[in-house]
Amino acid sequence: MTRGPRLLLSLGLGVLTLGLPLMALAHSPYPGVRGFYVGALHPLTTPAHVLLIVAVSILLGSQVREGRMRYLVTVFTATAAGLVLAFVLSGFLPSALMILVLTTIVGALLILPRTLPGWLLMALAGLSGFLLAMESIPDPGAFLDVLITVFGSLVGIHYLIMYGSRGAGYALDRWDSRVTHLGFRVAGSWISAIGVLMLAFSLSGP
Amino acid sequence: MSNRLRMISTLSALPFFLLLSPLVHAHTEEGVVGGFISGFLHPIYGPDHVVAMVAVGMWGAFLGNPAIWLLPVVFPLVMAFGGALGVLGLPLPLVEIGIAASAIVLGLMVLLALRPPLWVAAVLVGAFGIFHGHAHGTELPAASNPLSYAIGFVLATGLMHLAGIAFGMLANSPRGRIAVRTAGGLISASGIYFLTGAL
Repeated sequence: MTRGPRLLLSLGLGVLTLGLPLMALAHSPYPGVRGFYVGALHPLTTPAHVLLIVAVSILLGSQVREGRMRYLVTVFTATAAGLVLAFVLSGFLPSALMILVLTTIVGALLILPRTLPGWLLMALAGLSGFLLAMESIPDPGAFLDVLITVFGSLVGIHYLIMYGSRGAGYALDRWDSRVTHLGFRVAGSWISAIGVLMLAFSLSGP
Repeated sequence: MSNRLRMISTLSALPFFLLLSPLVHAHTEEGVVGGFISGFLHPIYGPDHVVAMVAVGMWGAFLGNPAIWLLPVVFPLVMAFGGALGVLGLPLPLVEIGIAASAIVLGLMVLLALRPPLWVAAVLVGAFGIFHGHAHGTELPAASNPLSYAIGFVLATGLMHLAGIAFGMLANSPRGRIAVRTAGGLISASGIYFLTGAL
């Protein structure tokens, strides 16, 4: 198969894949399944969360070339901790504002033309998962429904960062890494600029 | 026409199509999408902003690597800080004059094919970015979704830089170089027009 039809096929499959969850939600044959999808897709419904996920994914994908599993385990653990602690700390921690600050910082770090220390990357990855989880607690309801939705959020956040970072790493391997790095830097400046503006909006009040 | 030139000319035409897009808006701009659209169109509707941002890309392409990516990275970042000052209501003097001066100076840089040290170029572009950002920050519509507005605003700025880079890459050929330098002269002349309006 030549490149053109392969690209078209990939795009078609992508569109189909995006459509499938909607079909599943339309019927909801198993009790609780809807809550899982709500939790899993929650990070994608908030633009600030999407921005942080994109920033962290690019950072991990471009900086971590080996031993990626350690970072993903960190994200998973921190996300799980955040989901549990969210019920205790909700209202005490300005997690929405912290997400914007972290997005601005991670975006700025993407611009730097140097390899960052592993501990810093791990801290940023963990903090991202933790803060995203803090902002992902569902509305009060039956214990089992809440649990399933929280589990969905855990899976959603983790998978988005995992596939995002793998995608960024793949882009570096697949295309000219010099040009791809430049693209990541430009993306970093855009992400950081959006973060700064969002912080200003948040601090200026309604 | 070679594939590369065809690609450059196609990319250069993109901003004009972006300008046409408001004609097909049949609905009111509300919510996330409305915020994105109004943020995206805000810099495009200001010709003084457009010429300066295109000039940044053109000058970057003219200077070559690493300026070709460094200037478009510096500008949105510093512009965002300027925008934050505007959003927070912190005053900045001579904003309109600064914006007009940015078109004059950046256009002259391209016209005269000046090649200052990289840090000078970055500081110059960054300084002008504050004025542009502040002007946008103080003119923000209150009803828009802030985040999608910011995303649209930054994306539009970045795309105008890319359009400038695409056009500036024509400078690799002798005739293209004349075209790019002429465009720099036109941008500088338009800056003088904006300056007379600001004064």
